[in-house]
Amino acid sequence: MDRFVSARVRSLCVLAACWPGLICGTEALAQTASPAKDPAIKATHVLGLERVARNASGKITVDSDRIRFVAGTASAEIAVASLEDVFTGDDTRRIVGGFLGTLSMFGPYGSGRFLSLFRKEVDVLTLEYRDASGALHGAVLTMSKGDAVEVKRRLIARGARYSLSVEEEETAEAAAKAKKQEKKP
Amino acid sequence: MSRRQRSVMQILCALCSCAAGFSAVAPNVAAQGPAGATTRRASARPAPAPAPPAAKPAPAPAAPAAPVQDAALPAIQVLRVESDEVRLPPEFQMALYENLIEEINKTGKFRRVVRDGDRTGAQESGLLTLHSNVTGFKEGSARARQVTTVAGATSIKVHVRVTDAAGKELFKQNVEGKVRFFGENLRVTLNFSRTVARLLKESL
Repeated sequence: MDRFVSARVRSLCVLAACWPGLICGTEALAQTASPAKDPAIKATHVLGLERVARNASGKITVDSDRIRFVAGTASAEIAVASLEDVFTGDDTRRIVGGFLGTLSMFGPYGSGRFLSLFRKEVDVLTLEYRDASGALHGAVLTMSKGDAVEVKRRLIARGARYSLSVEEEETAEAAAKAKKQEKKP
Repeated sequence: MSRRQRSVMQILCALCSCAAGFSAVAPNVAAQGPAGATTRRASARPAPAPAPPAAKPAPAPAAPAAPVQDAALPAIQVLRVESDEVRLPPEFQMALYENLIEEINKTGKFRRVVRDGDRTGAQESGLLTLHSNVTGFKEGSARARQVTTVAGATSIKVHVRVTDAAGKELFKQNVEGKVRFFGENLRVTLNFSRTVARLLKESL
Protein backbone atom coordinates (compact mmCIF):
# COMPACT_ATOMS: atom_id res chain seq x y z
CA MET A 1 0.00 0.00 0.00
CA ASP A 2 2.77 2.38 1.05
CA ARG A 3 4.66 1.53 -2.10
CA PHE A 4 1.54 2.25 -4.19
CA VAL A 5 1.01 5.66 -2.55
CA SER A 6 4.66 6.65 -2.88
CA ALA A 7 4.61 5.71 -6.57
CA ARG A 8 1.56 7.92 -7.14
CA VAL A 9 3.12 10.82 -5.25
CA ARG A 10 6.33 10.41 -7.26
CA SER A 11 4.42 10.45 -10.57
CA LEU A 12 2.47 13.54 -9.49
CA CYS A 13 5.72 15.30 -8.58
CA VAL A 14 7.19 14.46 -11.97
CA LEU A 15 4.07 15.74 -13.71
CA ALA A 16 4.11 18.96 -11.68
CA ALA A 17 7.77 19.50 -12.50
CA CYS A 18 7.19 18.96 -16.21
CA TRP A 19 3.94 20.98 -16.45
CA PRO A 20 5.49 24.45 -17.17
CA GLY A 21 7.71 22.90 -19.80
CA LEU A 22 4.72 21.21 -21.44
CA ILE A 23 2.76 24.47 -21.49
CA CYS A 24 5.69 26.41 -22.94
CA GLY A 25 6.17 23.74 -25.56
CA THR A 26 2.57 23.83 -26.71
CA GLU A 27 2.60 27.64 -26.75
CA ALA A 28 5.77 27.62 -28.82
CA LEU A 29 4.16 25.15 -31.20
CA ALA A 30 1.08 27.35 -31.49
CA GLN A 31 3.23 30.38 -32.21
CA THR A 32 5.15 28.67 -34.94
CA ALA A 33 1.97 27.25 -36.45
CA SER A 34 0.13 30.60 -36.84
CA PRO A 35 1.73 33.72 -38.35
CA ALA A 36 2.60 36.54 -35.93
CA LYS A 37 -0.32 38.94 -35.52
CA ASP A 38 0.03 42.70 -35.50
CA PRO A 39 -0.71 44.15 -32.07
CA ALA A 40 -4.19 45.53 -31.50
CA ILE A 41 -4.60 49.30 -31.55
CA LYS A 42 -6.87 51.16 -29.16
CA ALA A 43 -9.56 53.19 -30.89
CA THR A 44 -12.89 54.91 -30.31
CA HIS A 45 -15.79 54.34 -32.65
CA VAL A 46 -17.27 57.65 -33.76
CA LEU A 47 -19.88 56.38 -36.21
CA GLY A 48 -20.63 54.01 -39.06
CA LEU A 49 -19.97 50.53 -37.71
CA GLU A 50 -23.12 48.49 -37.38
CA ARG A 51 -23.88 46.84 -34.05
CA VAL A 52 -21.30 49.00 -32.26
CA ALA A 53 -22.40 51.93 -30.12
CA ARG A 54 -21.13 55.40 -30.90
CA ASN A 55 -18.24 56.52 -28.71
CA ALA A 56 -17.47 52.93 -27.77
CA SER A 57 -13.83 52.31 -26.95
CA GLY A 58 -12.25 49.16 -28.25
CA LYS A 59 -9.40 47.66 -30.19
CA ILE A 60 -8.66 47.38 -33.87
CA THR A 61 -6.91 44.37 -35.33
CA VAL A 62 -6.03 43.81 -38.95
CA ASP A 63 -5.96 40.13 -39.90
CA SER A 64 -5.03 38.68 -43.23
CA ASP A 65 -8.25 39.60 -44.99
CA ARG A 66 -10.31 41.72 -42.61
CA ILE A 67 -10.20 44.60 -40.19
CA ARG A 68 -11.93 43.94 -36.88
CA PHE A 69 -13.10 46.37 -34.20
CA VAL A 70 -13.99 44.87 -30.84
CA ALA A 71 -15.56 46.93 -28.05
CA GLY A 72 -16.52 44.70 -25.15
CA THR A 73 -19.17 42.30 -26.39
CA ALA A 74 -19.90 44.28 -29.55
CA SER A 75 -17.74 43.84 -32.61
CA ALA A 76 -17.69 44.67 -36.30
CA GLU A 77 -15.70 43.28 -39.19
CA ILE A 78 -14.96 44.68 -42.62
CA ALA A 79 -13.36 42.63 -45.36
CA VAL A 80 -10.22 44.34 -46.67
CA ALA A 81 -11.34 43.55 -50.23
CA SER A 82 -14.56 45.53 -49.72
CA LEU A 83 -12.71 48.70 -48.68
CA GLU A 84 -12.94 51.39 -51.33
CA ASP A 85 -10.77 53.96 -49.64
CA VAL A 86 -8.92 54.62 -46.41
CA PHE A 87 -8.20 58.12 -45.16
CA THR A 88 -6.32 59.44 -42.18
CA GLY A 89 -6.69 62.84 -40.59
CA ASP A 90 -6.20 64.54 -37.27
CA ASP A 91 -8.36 66.25 -34.72
CA THR A 92 -8.31 67.19 -31.05
CA ARG A 93 -10.38 65.97 -28.13
CA ARG A 94 -10.95 67.42 -24.67
CA ILE A 95 -9.02 65.57 -22.02
CA VAL A 96 -11.98 65.97 -19.65
CA GLY A 97 -14.81 65.08 -21.99
CA GLY A 98 -18.21 63.45 -21.99
CA PHE A 99 -20.86 64.20 -19.39
CA LEU A 100 -18.31 65.35 -16.84
CA GLY A 101 -16.83 67.70 -19.41
CA THR A 102 -20.23 69.22 -20.12
CA LEU A 103 -20.97 69.60 -16.41
CA SER A 104 -17.63 71.30 -15.92
CA MET A 105 -18.72 74.05 -18.34
CA PHE A 106 -21.02 75.33 -15.58
CA GLY A 107 -18.30 75.32 -12.97
CA PRO A 108 -17.54 78.55 -11.12
CA TYR A 109 -14.93 81.13 -12.18
CA GLY A 110 -14.65 79.77 -15.72
CA SER A 111 -13.09 76.53 -14.52
CA GLY A 112 -14.83 74.60 -17.29
CA ARG A 113 -13.43 76.89 -19.92
CA PHE A 114 -10.02 76.55 -18.38
CA LEU A 115 -10.33 72.76 -18.63
CA SER A 116 -11.26 73.13 -22.32
CA LEU A 117 -7.74 74.40 -22.95
CA PHE A 118 -6.39 70.95 -22.24
CA ARG A 119 -6.90 68.88 -25.35
CA LYS A 120 -5.13 65.91 -26.83
CA GLU A 121 -4.29 65.35 -30.46
CA VAL A 122 -5.98 62.32 -32.00
CA ASP A 123 -5.85 60.64 -35.37
CA VAL A 124 -9.02 60.07 -37.35
CA LEU A 125 -9.36 56.99 -39.53
CA THR A 126 -12.10 57.01 -42.16
CA LEU A 127 -13.04 53.79 -43.93
CA GLU A 128 -15.21 53.73 -47.03
CA TYR A 129 -16.56 50.31 -47.96
CA ARG A 130 -19.36 48.51 -49.78
CA ASP A 131 -21.38 45.59 -48.49
CA ALA A 132 -22.45 42.49 -50.41
CA SER A 133 -25.27 44.34 -52.20
CA GLY A 134 -22.97 47.20 -53.22
CA ALA A 135 -24.32 49.68 -50.66
CA LEU A 136 -21.87 52.36 -49.57
CA HIS A 137 -20.93 52.56 -45.90
CA GLY A 138 -18.57 54.83 -44.03
CA ALA A 139 -16.94 54.36 -40.66
CA VAL A 140 -15.04 56.92 -38.61
CA LEU A 141 -12.75 55.99 -35.72
CA THR A 142 -10.39 58.03 -33.60
CA MET A 143 -7.18 56.77 -32.06
CA SER A 144 -3.93 58.01 -30.57
CA LYS A 145 -1.60 60.14 -32.65
CA GLY A 146 0.24 58.09 -35.25
CA ASP A 147 -1.96 54.99 -34.96
CA ALA A 148 -4.23 55.77 -37.93
CA VAL A 149 -1.23 55.85 -40.25
CA GLU A 150 -0.13 52.50 -38.84
CA VAL A 151 -3.57 50.95 -39.47
CA LYS A 152 -3.62 52.37 -42.98
CA ARG A 153 -0.16 50.92 -43.68
CA ARG A 154 -1.32 47.50 -42.46
CA LEU A 155 -4.44 47.69 -44.63
CA ILE A 156 -2.46 48.72 -47.70
CA ALA A 157 -0.05 45.85 -47.07
CA ARG A 158 -3.04 43.49 -47.17
CA GLY A 159 -4.31 44.87 -50.45
CA ALA A 160 -6.76 47.62 -49.45
CA ARG A 161 -7.53 50.18 -52.15
CA TYR A 162 -6.75 53.84 -51.52
CA SER A 163 -6.75 57.11 -53.42
CA LEU A 164 -4.01 58.88 -51.45
CA SER A 165 -0.95 57.21 -50.02
CA VAL A 166 0.18 57.93 -46.47
CA GLU A 167 2.95 60.22 -47.75
CA GLU A 168 0.58 62.13 -50.04
CA GLU A 169 -1.85 62.65 -47.18
CA GLU A 170 0.93 63.92 -44.92
CA THR A 171 2.05 66.38 -47.60
CA ALA A 172 -1.50 67.60 -48.19
CA GLU A 173 -2.04 68.01 -44.46
CA ALA A 174 1.18 69.98 -44.03
CA ALA A 175 0.19 72.23 -46.95
CA ALA A 176 -3.27 72.82 -45.45
CA LYS A 177 -1.74 73.69 -42.07
CA ALA A 178 0.72 76.10 -43.67
CA LYS A 179 -2.14 77.74 -45.57
CA LYS A 180 -4.11 78.13 -42.35
CA GLN A 181 -1.17 79.74 -40.58
CA GLU A 182 -0.65 82.11 -43.50
CA LYS A 183 -4.24 83.28 -43.16
CA LYS A 184 -4.02 83.90 -39.40
CA PRO A 185 -1.97 87.13 -39.32
CA MET B 1 -24.80 56.32 -4.26
CA SER B 2 -26.25 57.99 -1.17
CA ARG B 3 -29.47 59.98 -1.21
CA ARG B 4 -27.55 63.22 -0.85
CA GLN B 5 -25.28 62.46 -3.77
CA ARG B 6 -28.31 61.53 -5.85
CA SER B 7 -30.04 64.79 -5.07
CA VAL B 8 -26.90 66.78 -5.92
CA MET B 9 -26.72 64.98 -9.27
CA GLN B 10 -30.41 65.76 -9.92
CA ILE B 11 -29.83 69.45 -9.20
CA LEU B 12 -26.83 69.51 -11.50
CA CYS B 13 -28.82 67.82 -14.27
CA ALA B 14 -31.65 70.35 -13.84
CA LEU B 15 -29.14 73.21 -14.00
CA CYS B 16 -27.67 71.68 -17.14
CA SER B 17 -31.02 71.49 -18.87
CA CYS B 18 -31.91 75.06 -17.83
CA ALA B 19 -28.63 76.38 -19.15
CA ALA B 20 -29.05 74.43 -22.36
CA GLY B 21 -32.51 75.93 -22.87
CA PHE B 22 -31.25 79.43 -22.10
CA SER B 23 -28.32 79.33 -24.51
CA ALA B 24 -30.39 77.91 -27.33
CA VAL B 25 -30.09 80.42 -30.12
CA ALA B 26 -32.12 78.99 -32.90
CA PRO B 27 -33.05 81.69 -35.30
CA ASN B 28 -34.66 79.51 -37.94
CA VAL B 29 -34.61 82.39 -40.35
CA ALA B 30 -35.54 81.46 -43.85
CA ALA B 31 -33.81 83.60 -46.43
CA GLN B 32 -34.20 83.46 -50.14
CA GLY B 33 -31.09 82.00 -51.72
CA PRO B 34 -29.58 83.12 -55.00
CA ALA B 35 -31.04 80.26 -56.98
CA GLY B 36 -34.48 80.68 -55.53
CA ALA B 37 -33.81 78.07 -52.91
CA THR B 38 -34.46 79.01 -49.34
CA THR B 39 -31.73 78.83 -46.74
CA ARG B 40 -32.37 77.50 -43.29
CA ARG B 41 -30.04 77.28 -40.39
CA ALA B 42 -29.59 74.02 -38.71
CA SER B 43 -30.52 74.01 -35.11
CA ALA B 44 -27.84 75.78 -33.16
CA ARG B 45 -29.36 74.35 -30.03
CA PRO B 46 -26.69 72.86 -27.85
CA ALA B 47 -26.92 69.19 -28.27
CA PRO B 48 -27.00 66.76 -25.40
CA ALA B 49 -23.62 65.86 -24.08
CA PRO B 50 -21.88 63.11 -25.96
CA ALA B 51 -21.60 59.85 -24.14
CA PRO B 52 -18.50 59.73 -21.98
CA PRO B 53 -15.63 57.73 -23.39
CA ALA B 54 -16.60 54.26 -22.37
CA ALA B 55 -14.17 52.82 -19.89
CA LYS B 56 -16.34 49.78 -19.63
CA PRO B 57 -17.55 47.93 -22.70
CA ALA B 58 -20.26 49.91 -24.38
CA PRO B 59 -23.57 48.18 -24.76
CA ALA B 60 -24.45 47.28 -28.30
CA PRO B 61 -26.94 49.74 -29.74
CA ALA B 62 -30.43 48.73 -30.55
CA ALA B 63 -30.88 47.21 -33.97
CA PRO B 64 -31.40 49.81 -36.71
CA ALA B 65 -34.94 51.03 -36.94
CA ALA B 66 -37.01 48.47 -38.78
CA PRO B 67 -38.23 49.70 -42.14
CA VAL B 68 -41.75 51.03 -42.02
CA GLN B 69 -44.02 48.45 -43.63
CA ASP B 70 -46.45 50.88 -45.25
CA ALA B 71 -46.63 50.37 -48.99
CA ALA B 72 -48.06 53.87 -49.48
CA LEU B 73 -44.90 55.50 -48.15
CA PRO B 74 -42.11 56.22 -50.62
CA ALA B 75 -38.61 54.78 -50.43
CA ILE B 76 -35.66 57.14 -50.62
CA GLN B 77 -32.11 56.60 -51.76
CA VAL B 78 -29.43 58.72 -50.13
CA LEU B 79 -26.55 59.37 -52.49
CA ARG B 80 -22.97 59.99 -51.42
CA VAL B 81 -22.41 63.62 -50.39
CA GLU B 82 -20.64 65.51 -53.17
CA SER B 83 -18.24 68.37 -52.56
CA ASP B 84 -17.28 69.82 -55.93
CA GLU B 85 -16.80 73.42 -54.82
CA VAL B 86 -15.07 73.03 -51.47
CA ARG B 87 -12.57 70.63 -50.01
CA LEU B 88 -14.40 68.63 -47.38
CA PRO B 89 -12.39 66.32 -45.13
CA PRO B 90 -13.37 62.67 -45.76
CA GLU B 91 -14.50 62.12 -42.16
CA PHE B 92 -17.03 64.94 -42.54
CA GLN B 93 -18.21 63.56 -45.88
CA MET B 94 -18.80 60.09 -44.44
CA ALA B 95 -20.32 61.44 -41.24
CA LEU B 96 -22.78 63.54 -43.28
CA TYR B 97 -23.79 60.50 -45.31
CA GLU B 98 -24.18 58.14 -42.34
CA ASN B 99 -26.01 60.69 -40.20
CA LEU B 100 -28.38 61.54 -43.06
CA ILE B 101 -29.33 57.88 -43.42
CA GLU B 102 -29.85 57.47 -39.70
CA GLU B 103 -31.86 60.64 -39.20
CA ILE B 104 -34.05 60.09 -42.28
CA ASN B 105 -34.71 56.55 -41.08
CA LYS B 106 -35.84 57.93 -37.73
CA THR B 107 -38.52 60.14 -39.30
CA GLY B 108 -40.66 57.10 -40.22
CA LYS B 109 -41.75 58.98 -43.30
CA PHE B 110 -40.15 56.55 -45.72
CA ARG B 111 -40.80 52.91 -46.36
CA ARG B 112 -37.10 52.26 -46.75
CA VAL B 113 -33.89 54.28 -46.83
CA VAL B 114 -31.60 52.90 -49.51
CA ARG B 115 -27.87 53.49 -49.47
CA ASP B 116 -25.80 54.74 -52.39
CA GLY B 117 -25.06 51.90 -54.82
CA ASP B 118 -27.43 49.41 -53.19
CA ARG B 119 -28.52 47.07 -55.99
CA THR B 120 -31.62 46.01 -54.08
CA GLY B 121 -32.91 49.59 -54.28
CA ALA B 122 -33.79 49.13 -57.95
CA GLN B 123 -36.69 46.89 -56.92
CA GLU B 124 -38.36 49.73 -55.00
CA SER B 125 -41.20 51.39 -56.85
CA GLY B 126 -41.32 55.20 -56.88
CA LEU B 127 -37.86 55.52 -55.42
CA LEU B 128 -36.96 59.10 -54.46
CA THR B 129 -33.33 60.20 -54.55
CA LEU B 130 -31.65 62.62 -52.18
CA HIS B 131 -28.73 64.56 -53.69
CA SER B 132 -26.47 66.65 -51.46
CA ASN B 133 -23.75 68.99 -52.63
CA VAL B 134 -21.57 70.84 -50.13
CA THR B 135 -21.26 74.51 -51.08
CA GLY B 136 -19.52 75.86 -48.02
CA PHE B 137 -17.51 74.53 -45.13
CA LYS B 138 -15.66 76.27 -42.32
CA GLU B 139 -13.85 74.07 -39.86
CA GLY B 140 -13.79 75.98 -36.60
CA SER B 141 -11.83 75.28 -33.47
CA ALA B 142 -13.40 73.33 -30.65
CA ARG B 143 -10.91 74.88 -28.23
CA ALA B 144 -11.72 78.45 -29.27
CA ARG B 145 -15.43 77.63 -29.19
CA GLN B 146 -15.42 76.20 -25.71
CA VAL B 147 -13.14 78.84 -24.24
CA THR B 148 -14.63 81.98 -25.81
CA THR B 149 -18.20 80.90 -26.73
CA VAL B 150 -18.33 83.41 -29.56
CA ALA B 151 -15.45 82.23 -31.74
CA GLY B 152 -14.53 79.00 -33.43
CA ALA B 153 -17.91 77.92 -34.79
CA THR B 154 -17.91 75.14 -37.37
CA SER B 155 -20.40 75.50 -40.18
CA ILE B 156 -21.38 73.62 -43.28
CA LYS B 157 -23.66 74.65 -46.14
CA VAL B 158 -25.20 72.01 -48.35
CA HIS B 159 -27.53 72.24 -51.30
CA VAL B 160 -30.03 69.44 -50.86
CA ARG B 161 -32.53 68.29 -53.48
CA VAL B 162 -34.88 65.37 -53.84
CA THR B 163 -35.90 63.95 -57.19
CA ASP B 164 -38.42 61.29 -58.09
CA ALA B 165 -37.78 58.21 -60.23
CA ALA B 166 -38.34 60.25 -63.42
CA GLY B 167 -35.80 62.87 -62.32
CA LYS B 168 -38.38 65.54 -61.50
CA GLU B 169 -37.30 67.84 -58.69
CA LEU B 170 -39.64 67.57 -55.70
CA PHE B 171 -37.68 69.53 -53.13
CA LYS B 172 -34.62 71.73 -53.02
CA GLN B 173 -33.12 73.84 -50.31
CA ASN B 174 -29.83 75.21 -49.04
CA VAL B 175 -29.36 73.89 -45.54
CA GLU B 176 -26.80 75.07 -43.03
CA GLY B 177 -25.45 73.16 -40.07
CA LYS B 178 -23.53 74.79 -37.21
CA VAL B 179 -21.79 73.92 -33.98
CA ARG B 180 -21.56 77.01 -31.80
CA PHE B 181 -20.82 75.86 -28.31
CA PHE B 182 -21.15 72.21 -27.34
CA GLY B 183 -19.62 69.31 -29.15
CA GLU B 184 -16.70 68.58 -31.36
CA ASN B 185 -16.46 69.66 -34.99
CA LEU B 186 -18.03 66.48 -36.38
CA ARG B 187 -21.21 67.32 -34.52
CA VAL B 188 -22.02 69.77 -37.30
CA THR B 189 -22.91 66.79 -39.50
CA LEU B 190 -25.47 65.56 -36.98
CA ASN B 191 -27.08 68.99 -36.61
CA PHE B 192 -27.27 69.30 -40.39
CA SER B 193 -28.76 65.82 -40.82
CA ARG B 194 -31.42 66.47 -38.21
CA THR B 195 -32.47 69.63 -40.03
CA VAL B 196 -32.64 67.84 -43.39
CA ALA B 197 -34.68 65.00 -41.88
CA ARG B 198 -37.09 67.49 -40.33
CA LEU B 199 -37.44 69.42 -43.60
CA LEU B 200 -38.11 66.23 -45.57
CA LYS B 201 -40.68 65.16 -43.02
CA GLU B 202 -42.46 68.50 -43.36
CA SER B 203 -42.19 68.85 -47.11
CA LEU B 204 -42.71 65.41 -48.62
